[in-house]
Amino acid sequence: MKSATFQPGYILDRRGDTIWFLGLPYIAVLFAVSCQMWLPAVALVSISLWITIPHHFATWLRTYGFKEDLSRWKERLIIGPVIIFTLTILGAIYVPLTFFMVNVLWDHQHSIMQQHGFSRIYDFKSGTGTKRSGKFDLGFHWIFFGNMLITSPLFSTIWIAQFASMGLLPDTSTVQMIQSVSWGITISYGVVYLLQLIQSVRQGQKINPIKYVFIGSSYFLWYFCAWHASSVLVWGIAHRIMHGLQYIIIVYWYLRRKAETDLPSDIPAEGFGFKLVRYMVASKRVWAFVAISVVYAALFQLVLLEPIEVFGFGVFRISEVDRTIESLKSIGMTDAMWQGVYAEILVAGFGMTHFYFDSFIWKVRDKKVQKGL
Amino acid sequence: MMDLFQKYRILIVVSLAFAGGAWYELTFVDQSRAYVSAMAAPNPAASVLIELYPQRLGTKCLEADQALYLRYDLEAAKKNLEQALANNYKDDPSYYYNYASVVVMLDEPQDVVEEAVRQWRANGIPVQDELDPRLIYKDVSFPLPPDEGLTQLLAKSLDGRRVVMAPEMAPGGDRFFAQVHHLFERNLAYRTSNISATSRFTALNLSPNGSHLITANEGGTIAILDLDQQQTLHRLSNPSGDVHAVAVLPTHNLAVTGDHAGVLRLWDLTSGEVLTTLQGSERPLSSIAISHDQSHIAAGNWNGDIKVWRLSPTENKPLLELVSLNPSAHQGVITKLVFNSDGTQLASASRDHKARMWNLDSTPQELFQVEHKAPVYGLDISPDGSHLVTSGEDRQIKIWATASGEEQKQIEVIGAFTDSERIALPMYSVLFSMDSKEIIVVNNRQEIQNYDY
Repeated sequence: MKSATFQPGYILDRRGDTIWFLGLPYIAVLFAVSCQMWLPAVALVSISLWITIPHHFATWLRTYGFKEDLSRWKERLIIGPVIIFTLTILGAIYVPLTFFMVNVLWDHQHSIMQQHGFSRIYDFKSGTGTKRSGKFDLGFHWIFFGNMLITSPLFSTIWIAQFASMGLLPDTSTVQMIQSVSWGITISYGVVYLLQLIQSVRQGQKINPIKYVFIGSSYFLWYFCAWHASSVLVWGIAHRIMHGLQYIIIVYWYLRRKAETDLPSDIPAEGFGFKLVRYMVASKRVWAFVAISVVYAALFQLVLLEPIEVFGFGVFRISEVDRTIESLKSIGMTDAMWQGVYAEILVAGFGMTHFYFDSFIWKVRDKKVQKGL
Repeated sequence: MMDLFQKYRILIVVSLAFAGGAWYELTFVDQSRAYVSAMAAPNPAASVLIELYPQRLGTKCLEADQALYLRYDLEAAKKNLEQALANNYKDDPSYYYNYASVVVMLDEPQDVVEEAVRQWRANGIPVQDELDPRLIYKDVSFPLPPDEGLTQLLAKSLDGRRVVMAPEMAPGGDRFFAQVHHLFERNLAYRTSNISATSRFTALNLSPNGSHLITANEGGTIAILDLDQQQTLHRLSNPSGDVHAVAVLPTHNLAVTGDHAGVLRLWDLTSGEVLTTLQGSERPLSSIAISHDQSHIAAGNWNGDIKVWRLSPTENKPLLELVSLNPSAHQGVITKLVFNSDGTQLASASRDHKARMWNLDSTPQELFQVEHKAPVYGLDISPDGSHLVTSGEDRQIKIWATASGEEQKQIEVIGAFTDSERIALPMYSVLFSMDSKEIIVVNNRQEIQNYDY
């Protein structure tokens, strides 16, 4: 599709992108809707365990797996988890609502930024896009994702109920007004976004059509589920499949390309851990990468000390079952409740550490990062 | 410095978010998360969401949620929940819980109940503290000792002689008790008397002079007792179901009831017969108040409407003349109405988190409104007319100046659930003492407590 205007470029290759970046959202929606029809709520938990937890694991490999990156970010890779786990522990015990809200909001921000990051990689791979178009893309993601949260029936139900529980229940006309304003801003921004795109093309800049197909697929998943699913779990399942798998794929290829470009002979003093990562991501050893990720997920589940059905991964307060049962005997924090809080801290703590690391390790403008892309 | 900020800006933002949230939560949000609510909390935004998305499946669930909470149309609630769960509506696991609650309340066969509870346990990842519905709605056992149920019903006589109270959400059992406290009785042995019933109390009230007690129980039974003579005058059956509001006026030889069908009835105290029936409202009547001179009756309903009638006793039957109508006094169920001592003002409390003071004209004028963070249940005007007290599920008792509507004081009633755990209680009822200097509440041990304010 080479033309004066279009400059296609792929993150993996044409086939790989079609499956993992362009087609996956549709498959994820199909799977999630099937879950809604036929599977119990535990489906989300399974997705979380076998996809979300390994995608955190991919971050640890990405950050701690190569000596060069580890030494570049050493300070942040140590201080970050210490601060985040401190906040998590204090939050889970003393201010559970804050802990929950920060976790959920950061998760949403992280989701937006991941899709934005992939958009930037598409521009990088095709040599298209400018700093200005990057900012327009970022604005697009914030406004369109935010609009979904504000206007969709699925998310409206959550935020209106939250306001109501805080004694701030808006009346119907106020909600409708807020939603109309949100739509107004979104549509206006959409028009501005299109105009700047047309202007860029007129100025002779090329655009990568695959990037827009990718953005379209992602927003199809989010908007479709937010309007047509009756359950936030459906949205969660579809989103986690897309988000987790796409992340794992990019990390695998990033590490593999890094491993292949940074030859071990260049780094003579690597220890066992670094060598293991190189082994896992080497060509034709996808099975090793997958197998170790699965082992990590299984170990994580074991360490949590929680049965799978209460393993809600931040979507729900995972320790509530125990709190409920124990509160029949006496009201207060029992050992079982503490165990629930412990699991909550592990899940959220690792999750937020992953959000934090991702905020600085994927700068597409970074030349060293570009080496792996 | 700027480099350091740049480097750690995300951590700084997150830490600030945590700090801000923690400040808000510790300052404004109830911290006693160990508290276990006695009922599944309804979605507080249900009415708005039903209006916004009438066609969505979730709306059915919200309707069911409301129905369960308010205990009406449980068959329809069950049907809605079945439809929702058949579509695997699992974003809010409380629907599994609510379904189990509905089948328990409908007395479905044991195996149906057990399966519903099993489904709740398997599929419902609880998002809130919820107790097994069998424990709440049936006689299995109750998490709190029987004497620690939450008192929701509390009334006093205007002469200060007597106070009556009963736990509306009483634990299950064969017998349910209301307690009458005879405050002027010198002999301690006779200071309290128990009024027993075979079903839960839904409403109770004392006559202004304290001589008579009227109670209503689940199933629509009404009892009228002469406390001075220590005898039951009548046990009556309301023809249109559960009675939610009652009053007794011995000087007019009348009892007044408001029921689930919205019917206001006037009963003859001597014969126990119905003298007047009035369709007071299309929705259930939830509260009745009698002016101190017994010349006016006010009634509030589930829609938040208030009506006031002038009562003119005649030889044959009393006349009720509608003198005031406020069709949207509140946006939620009216939970309590109270006249001031000269009958010129009326206070109303509602589940819409507000209480309002009205000047009683043909078109009632709002004098001021006050707010809580949760539904308001307790309400009283001090006998000297200077203060209004409100209380509710936000566990706050607030005292307001009636002249300005300004808040004067907040009080939390601490209940001891265990030796180590002391938490504030939701307050469903609150009264002023006769000298207007104290407020009276009942704690979770069914003890009357007085607080200065």
